[in-house]
Amino acid sequence: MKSLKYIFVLILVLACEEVVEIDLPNTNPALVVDGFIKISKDNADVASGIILSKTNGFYDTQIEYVGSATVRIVDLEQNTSYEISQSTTGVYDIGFPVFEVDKAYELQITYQGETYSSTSTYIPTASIKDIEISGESLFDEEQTLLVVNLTDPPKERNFYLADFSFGNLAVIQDEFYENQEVAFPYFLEQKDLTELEVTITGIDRNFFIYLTQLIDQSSDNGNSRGNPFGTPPSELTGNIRNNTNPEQQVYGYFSISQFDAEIIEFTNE
Amino acid sequence: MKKRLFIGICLLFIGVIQAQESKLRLDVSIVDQTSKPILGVSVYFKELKIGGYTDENGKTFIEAPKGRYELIIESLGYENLNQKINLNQDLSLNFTLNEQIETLDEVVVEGNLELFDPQMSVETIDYGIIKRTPAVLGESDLIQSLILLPGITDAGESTGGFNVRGGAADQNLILIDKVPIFYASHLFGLFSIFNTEIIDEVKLFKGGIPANYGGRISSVLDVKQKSPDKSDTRFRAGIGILASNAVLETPLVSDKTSLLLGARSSYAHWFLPLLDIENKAYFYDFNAKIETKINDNNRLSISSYYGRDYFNISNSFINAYGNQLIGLQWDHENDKGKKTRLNLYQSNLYYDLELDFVGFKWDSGVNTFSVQYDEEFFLSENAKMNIGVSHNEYVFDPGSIRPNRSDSQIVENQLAKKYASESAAYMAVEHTISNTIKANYGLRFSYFDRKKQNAWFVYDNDEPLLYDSNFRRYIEAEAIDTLNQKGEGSLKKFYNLEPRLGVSIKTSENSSLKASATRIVQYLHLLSNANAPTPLDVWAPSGPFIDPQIGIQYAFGYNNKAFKKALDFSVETYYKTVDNRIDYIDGAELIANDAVERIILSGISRAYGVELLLEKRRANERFNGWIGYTLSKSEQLTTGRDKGTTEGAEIEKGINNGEWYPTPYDRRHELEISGQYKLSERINLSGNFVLRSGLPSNFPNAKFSFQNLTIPVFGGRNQDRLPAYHRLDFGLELKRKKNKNDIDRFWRFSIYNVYNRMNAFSIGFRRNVETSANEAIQTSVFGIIPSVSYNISF
Repeated sequence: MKSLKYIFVLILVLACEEVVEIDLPNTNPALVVDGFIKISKDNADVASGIILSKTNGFYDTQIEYVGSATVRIVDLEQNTSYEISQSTTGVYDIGFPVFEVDKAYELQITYQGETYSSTSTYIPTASIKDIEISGESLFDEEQTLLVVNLTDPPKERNFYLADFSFGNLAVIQDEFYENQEVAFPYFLEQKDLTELEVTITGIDRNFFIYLTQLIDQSSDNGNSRGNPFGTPPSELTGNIRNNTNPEQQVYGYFSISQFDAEIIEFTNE
Repeated sequence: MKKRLFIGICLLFIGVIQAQESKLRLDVSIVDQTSKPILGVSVYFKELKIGGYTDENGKTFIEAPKGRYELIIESLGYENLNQKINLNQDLSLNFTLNEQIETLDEVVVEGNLELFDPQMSVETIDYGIIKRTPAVLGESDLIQSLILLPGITDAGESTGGFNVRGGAADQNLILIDKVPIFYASHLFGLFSIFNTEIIDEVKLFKGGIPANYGGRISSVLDVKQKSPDKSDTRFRAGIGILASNAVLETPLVSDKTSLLLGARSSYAHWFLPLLDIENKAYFYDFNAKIETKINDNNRLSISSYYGRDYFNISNSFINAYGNQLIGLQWDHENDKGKKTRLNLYQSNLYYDLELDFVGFKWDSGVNTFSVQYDEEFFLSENAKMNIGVSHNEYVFDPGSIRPNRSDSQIVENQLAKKYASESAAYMAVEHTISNTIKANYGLRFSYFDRKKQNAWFVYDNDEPLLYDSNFRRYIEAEAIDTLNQKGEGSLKKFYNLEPRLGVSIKTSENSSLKASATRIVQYLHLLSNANAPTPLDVWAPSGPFIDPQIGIQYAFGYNNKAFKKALDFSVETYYKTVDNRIDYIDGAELIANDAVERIILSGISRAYGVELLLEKRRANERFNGWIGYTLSKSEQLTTGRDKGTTEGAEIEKGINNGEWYPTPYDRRHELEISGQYKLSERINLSGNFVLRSGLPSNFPNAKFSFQNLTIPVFGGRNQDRLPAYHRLDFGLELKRKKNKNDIDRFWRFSIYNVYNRMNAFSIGFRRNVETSANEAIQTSVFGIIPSVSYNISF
């Protein structure tokens, strides 16, 4: 046993990433409806618009906006119809009615002779109680842990979209939280910030499922599809239907939702 | 077809029971110089060419008419014996075989009798081969060696698990000393849980699985731990760059009771604090086996395994998982050669995750308790029968969530535990029908009882998954009632007959044809949304919403001793189908899901292929190795459900629009070359070359923008492929001269991926944060990896 010799060769095993050139096909363009109308809890006049565009090749850098469509919002209770016009090409945001909580509305789009439709009720949101900035970091020092505390309405299950700016989106459900307190942790990767806007938007269960898939599949913020431990990509079927040609794929989602916003300030240490 | 197969088997059983002329019996018992019984020694009468192989107790017997014979005893690694016998009465003889020098630890299976064995599609691999095969980080690994054989692949480098003949990783029955385990990887798949130093014998059945095995469709990996030496204390230890191991074999009561202890641990984490890294990642495992010879006819052994993986990232993410098992085995052999075996075991898979920043702790696991009884005896000199019964009790704990600190807002929640039992009775016969035809046939009857549980959801029309034809998407149903009925009987029972058949036909002295047909039922499903198994995957028993998987495999093969018997050549072709193979609807969330019935669709899968193997595996020869090539296909079809609805109702789209799609582990071509060359008494060289088709992947065919996010659009499932995988490895073993303490010392050097091929583990698509342009990113795991280990043995 005396002759036992120890030799250690420390090798750093690191998965290696490199950019590769992969030829990708480009299927026929399909209509994309970003129909996420967000209305401020504090000021019902502030609402984001409906954005229409078309799919294009994965490597294309431009977004092809659609400016030639007719967009209408129908108040299904009173059966009144509002035509929505564009402020800039593809952004339909002028002429919204005053949305009322829990009331149903229909979106109607006519584009190149085909009609599209979808319905949504106006979903209220929870209020942001406060946002804690914690020094904790998980994998590297550049992260900041934010904990968003919400006052959750006493309904059995509620769903929210949290937006931490710069394309940092996360979905929240209150299933595992007690009472009306939701404490949602989020690791923010952005650095050198002086302030940051955080919004919490009310969504329904189906939109929650859609957004979960969408965020999982998005290629932003270093996300990349293709991890063998990840879930297989999904078709991302939203709630918009092509009435003229139901087999034709249309992307996007229609939801009228209330949001609450708070700006947090970072003090430099 | 099933019915005809069944009738055929019944007829064969009847054929076995026939009158016999009176024979005399020769019992043979064979031990090595240390009085340890030798397994698998070929014993036969030269004149009659009848005989058998010794069992674990080193025993076998021959029945023959009165006469004078020459008894031949052959075993690899031992010197052969010839003995003239005058068989004029029943005899019992003991032999001691001398170990052949040069073959210290190698037991290579010679194909002589194997050539005509009706059991086909079996791969054996031994300690010597595993030990010398160059491996990642020099950590020799059973699974890494197995996937060098045709028909066996993995779902990507270091993903854990393995796939046999286009089957899924959850369709492998993995046994350690007859005890099944549910997750066989360390470090999320980098290494298997088998400590090479305790492996005695490994058999992998890729097809023609005999009736005494059941419960998994694709394959059986039967790993036998070493029997501890009963006369001498032996010790082996190895130090590698990733992990070290030590194995002790020692007699407790000389020639009667002995003990084996094995331990292995990685130790990179010891050095991380020196580099000021707080994170921890390590694994360890222990093996223990006590064996006692009660008398010549009775043997008792206790085997156990305990293994854990542990990860800790800044105390915020803590993850531990592993298997533990303990098994008791009693072997009895009566004077007429009838062998009985009784097994009792308990096996447990444990998973624990603590996320401090969320404030929760998560525990899940699977518990199995089992009893097995098995008997083996001769119906006649031509027919050996194996009968048995088994019973398993399962408790599946899908998980409990608990707050990990007092200020956590998390609600404590136990997902409902699931309970089931699986019982089986089987009989199998190995039958020499004529000089040229041998068959093994059997029938297994299996019974599965899914028991009532708490928190059982009831759905409107019994439909947990709804379809919205407007938007062509699936929607999870909401429960209309929840029942708490634990201990009140069964939810659903399943009964199945599983016929198994294998035939070999001797076509010449050096060649044979083989065929097999099997039906196997698997009652457990692994719910894994990822392409490769992870320890967090949840096992789900069959029940009212999930039917058992039913696998049918037909295989046909030709074996030949080619080139003046210098090489073994075999070609096998197979076709298999699996009914009730589940897949998941788009966006299915499996983790902590209490109602998996709401996210799954049932489909069928099929796989077919041809495997070619040219090998030379002979003891005492300088060169051993093989070339294997496989051409295969594995795919799944998950159509929408047909509810017989009235016309006009839209057909459900299923998965991939109801068309066949490749399984995540589908590989078209597979070429593997592996060789070991003994340059001199002290130097062994080894090498592998592997070339495989890339695995299926998903590449985007368009993109769109939603809320300023870039969303790639994917077409059908698994329609694209990663680039081909290939690499070359070299290994060198240097044996040092024995020192005066008689200790064997080895250096083992290896270079994995010699030409540093960056094989794609995955290809992802993302928007470059700096340039905002979209790009494809390839991730590779292992480039060139040299490593070294030092081993001692006495």
